[in-house]
Amino acid sequence: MLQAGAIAFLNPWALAALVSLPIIWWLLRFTPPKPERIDFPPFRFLLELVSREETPHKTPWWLIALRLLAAGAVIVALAQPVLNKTLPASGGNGPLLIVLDDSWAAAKDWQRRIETLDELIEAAERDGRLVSVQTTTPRTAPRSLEPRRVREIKTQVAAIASQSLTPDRPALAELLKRAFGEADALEVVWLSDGADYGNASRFAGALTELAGGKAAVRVVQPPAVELSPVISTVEFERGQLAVSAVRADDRAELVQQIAAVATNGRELGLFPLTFKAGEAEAKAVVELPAVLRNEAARLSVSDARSAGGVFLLDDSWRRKSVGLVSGKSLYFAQPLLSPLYYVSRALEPFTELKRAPIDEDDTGIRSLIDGGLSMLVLADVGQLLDTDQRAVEQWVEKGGTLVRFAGPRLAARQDELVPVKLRRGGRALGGALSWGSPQPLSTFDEGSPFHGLKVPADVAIVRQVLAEPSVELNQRTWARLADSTPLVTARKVGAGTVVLFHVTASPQWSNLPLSGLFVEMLRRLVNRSQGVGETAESAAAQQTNFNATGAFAPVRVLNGAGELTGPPPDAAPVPANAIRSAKPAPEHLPGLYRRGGNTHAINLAGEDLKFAALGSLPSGVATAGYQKSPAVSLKPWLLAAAFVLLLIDAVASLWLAGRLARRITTSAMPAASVAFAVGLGMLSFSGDATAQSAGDLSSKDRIAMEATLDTRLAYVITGDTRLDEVSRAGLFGLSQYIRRKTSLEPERPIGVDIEKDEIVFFPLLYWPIHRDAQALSEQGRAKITAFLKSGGTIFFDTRDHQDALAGVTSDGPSRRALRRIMQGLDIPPLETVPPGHVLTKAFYLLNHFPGRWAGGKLWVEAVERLEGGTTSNTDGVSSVIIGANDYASAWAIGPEGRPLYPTVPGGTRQRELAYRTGVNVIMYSLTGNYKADQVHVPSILERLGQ
Amino acid sequence: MAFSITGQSATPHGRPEAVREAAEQAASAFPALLVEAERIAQTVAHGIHGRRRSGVGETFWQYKQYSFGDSAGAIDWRRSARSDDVYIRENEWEAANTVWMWACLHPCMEFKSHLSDGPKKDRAILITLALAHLLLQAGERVGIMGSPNPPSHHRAAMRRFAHYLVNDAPENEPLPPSVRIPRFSTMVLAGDFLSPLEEIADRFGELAGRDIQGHVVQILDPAEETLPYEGRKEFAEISGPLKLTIGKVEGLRGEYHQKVEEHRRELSAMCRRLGWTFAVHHTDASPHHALLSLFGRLSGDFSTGRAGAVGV
Repeated sequence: MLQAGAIAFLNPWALAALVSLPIIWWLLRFTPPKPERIDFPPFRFLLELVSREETPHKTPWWLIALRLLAAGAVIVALAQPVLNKTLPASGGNGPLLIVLDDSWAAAKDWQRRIETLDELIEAAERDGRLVSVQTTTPRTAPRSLEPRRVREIKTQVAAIASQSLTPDRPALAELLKRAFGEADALEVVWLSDGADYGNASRFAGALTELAGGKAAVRVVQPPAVELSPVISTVEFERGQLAVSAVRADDRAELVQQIAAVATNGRELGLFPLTFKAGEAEAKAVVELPAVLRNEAARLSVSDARSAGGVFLLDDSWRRKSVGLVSGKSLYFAQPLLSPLYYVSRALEPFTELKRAPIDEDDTGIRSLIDGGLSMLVLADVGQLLDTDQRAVEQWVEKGGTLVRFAGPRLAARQDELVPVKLRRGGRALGGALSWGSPQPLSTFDEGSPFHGLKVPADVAIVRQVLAEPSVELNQRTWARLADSTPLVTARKVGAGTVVLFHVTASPQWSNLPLSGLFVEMLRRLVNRSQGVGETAESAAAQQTNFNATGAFAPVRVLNGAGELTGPPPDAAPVPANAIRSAKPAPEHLPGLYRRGGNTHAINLAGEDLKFAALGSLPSGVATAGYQKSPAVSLKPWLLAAAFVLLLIDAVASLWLAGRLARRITTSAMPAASVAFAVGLGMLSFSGDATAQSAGDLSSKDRIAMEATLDTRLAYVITGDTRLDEVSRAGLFGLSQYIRRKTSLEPERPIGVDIEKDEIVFFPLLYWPIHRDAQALSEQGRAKITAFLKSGGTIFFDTRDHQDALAGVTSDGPSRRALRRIMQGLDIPPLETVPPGHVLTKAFYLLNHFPGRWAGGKLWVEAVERLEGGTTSNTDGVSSVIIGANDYASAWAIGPEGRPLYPTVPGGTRQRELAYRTGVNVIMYSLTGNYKADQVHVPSILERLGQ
Repeated sequence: MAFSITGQSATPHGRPEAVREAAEQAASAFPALLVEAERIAQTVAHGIHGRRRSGVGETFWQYKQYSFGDSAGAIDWRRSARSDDVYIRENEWEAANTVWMWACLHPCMEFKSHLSDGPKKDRAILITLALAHLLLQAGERVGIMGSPNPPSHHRAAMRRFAHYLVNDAPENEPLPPSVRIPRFSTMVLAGDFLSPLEEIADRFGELAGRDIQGHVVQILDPAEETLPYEGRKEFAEISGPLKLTIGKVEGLRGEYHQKVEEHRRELSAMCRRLGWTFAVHHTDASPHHALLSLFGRLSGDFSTGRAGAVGV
């Protein structure tokens, strides 16, 4: 490599060819351009006039200069000049140690780090140096510290990805000291993530001490401004989630947003997070209605793109789950008479209700508790079984909330789990034999959790159970009647509470369950209760007793960029008793861990997160920044310049030979003007090709007219011309097929730019996934969401089934690209097309859906099997269809009507089926699910017959 | 003789029909051309030049007493009825003059410079055919020198002429063929006549020896006259291997022009000696000029053509 100012030559030996330039000059000088030849009839006369020999004509100097310049440009281009290489290797010969922070903080600009790393390694390879690449995050597998040839470590380097872990620099420093402490010479480059975890300075110091203190250390760090804020803690504050965040650079004011995102990627809300100038910490309050808050699965700093800006919400933050147990098993036979009917109606909107399974041998209470509960409602259960009672007691002591309702059974006999001692029997008011009239409620006392609720005047209690008078009775009473008899009593048991309603949960004893007050009271109780996950410890304690499922197994883990991925092979389950205190570690990556129906999240955020910009480093350490852009290769530009020069030379030679003028006057004129026009067109094309308008209509209107006046198939322009051409030809072929076979007559297909064009006109968008497809912009995402919500269907084609055939991992680049595109879209859960799905019978009867490849699966929105599922206005049509079979290639036909690409494994039958798949998809998106109704055809026919 | 030149002359191209049509269009501006024949060849062909003696013709000449051997069909019964003798009606012997045409088709004639509309060959064919058309209109017999077809006075012959000139005529002769032409014929020669003067003189001498009236039209490209090239040029012989690269063509222009002038002076003098006419035609001029000039010469009405006798 040769360095000349900002320009480096990667292949400097090619420059030696510059020596040949004088020879070229000498040759060119005596090879004049060919003169114009004239076949001249009176040649004889000329011959008589001229008898002397003509000396060769000299080539004009400027032509020689032009040609020499072109030759020079080619030679320099072959030397591969590169501009702006800011981080050249120092040129030493000793081993090179590269320390890479592969932490979450590095994930944001990970690409740039990898480029820098690659450059360093490439330079080392050219210089034949040994290299050792070490990452700072803790790892379970042993490291190989020994420097090796670049060839040998390339696969290792290629596998480095950012981790959702905090670097463990001291541990690495210790290892390095052992390995390199006595080395002869060492060059160290630390590609830092720019964050100081309280140990950066010491680590840099440790690096300088390597090789007996002779190590040359350089630190590459990004500016502190580029580090995105990190969520430090999340806690409940007055019923809302309060999110604290820290940032590295505290100089300017910074406004970020905290996004609350649901499990399916839907954004529930954005909440401002404002860092004031000079402050490193800020707090945002996520104010969401309880219903929505329960859906929130993660909080993220909107701009973060790093695991540090993501906080996963598990069960303890989310949905309260309430177990319902009734003394009567009436619920399923006569639900309206069930004592739990009103409770469940009141709790349904904001909690998850669990009912004890009906079983002769078992009340189901234990399994309810074991599954994780916030609150247990026992309606008219007098005496619990002993084992149940023990389980409930333990659970309450750990923080559970037990709510009991009175009733005939409870009035008859009770167990110990009641707040107050009850009298046998109870009292009835307003009956024929009673002496009082039905009692209304009095207002709630200040100590009561119901304080502040408005008491309606028409609530009247007819019967109730009565508490034995005692000293504690007054303070255990949360609600009382107008005559001061307790209506709701409560007692703290350990960390939990036992609450008793002295009336039934049904309107038999009072009309309280019919009033809005009942709903409010239950809601307050639920809000007081603990989250489900908080019972984990108690559940773990009971594990031995109940032989429940084992440890918490990782389900999804965060990668460095803050995306949820599948757990790595070396991820280990977390024992249930350690889950509360589990810290992120290589084997326990931050993410979601599940045991049974109970999900727990391990988050990076915590008190021990020290996050600040890289502070001052010890002297003797050189610092540099990551280069803004990759080094610019000048080769294509020089080659282009040489080409242009040669073009000029060709024109000039023609002109010198006198052939140009003649051509231009006759045939070349139109050609030249066409070329000029094309050139101009290209120039304007590079600006904004689609913004040209024709006639009176703006281009937008024209596209709208084109799209709406005829039914058209549409595909998404990916930017790859070849792929777009395949899409166009494919949809053209499919349109032709549809014209032939159905009454639908689509016009020529149209390509849409998903970011710019209006897409709402098309019933179906065909979207081939390019493996390099980038994530969508905010507007694009909003547009697609609106499109899907308004009944549009997108047919994604990852076209990568052949990768799966070739044995490559199923998680190929196309899938990743698809995931990038779908990120932030409200995509419902998907399933492969089940048998009997409308897609299998929308027009043709199909069992499978081949495209160019056969065998890839077709995914559609999972059908809500429960009654009352709201599929909104899409008429049951899946908003997303995902295939992998490269359908457009199977459909594609050339201008002469022949298929363009062979099918694999092949055959006309497969192509025919591919077309049929296309027809079915189109029909499905156009006609909805009416074919599904055909199951009722027999009965309809029968009715019509009468 | 009043006529108007209408329409621009289209340059004829490859097809015989197209060539003929172009020629007929060029000729449409002229009336039929009757050759002023001072001495008519002794041919048996019909024609309109009366021979002052009885023979085949259309105008009455004399009545002659029937004698043995005369055709019974020739008896004029009306005249015979007036007397006792039987008379035969004899018409004046009318014979046509024969005009022989020749157009040079040598590769030299393909030359076309940037100054002209088309190659010289096209112009030569055009003029030849246009003239033939005018002659046939007047009932004259026209023949193509070197053609296997006999001379004809039928309109239909035009088609044959055009076909022969475009497709069949030999293309490597710079001078008219030395064919046997009946005495007292008229001959029209169109070509560039750039061959050495001695060769031309020999050939013309052979033709003129048979008492034939000749009309020579030298067709030249303007570039051959003026040498309008500049700078470095390579000149090549038309049907030969010789090449000549000239560094400054413009420097030669004067000398060259003198050379061409001298050649033409000699040629003109040669024609005058033979009693022939000589005219020059350039391909950048309208073919009507040449036609008009030839018209005048052939019809003997020099009021139309004499002015352009030399150097049209």
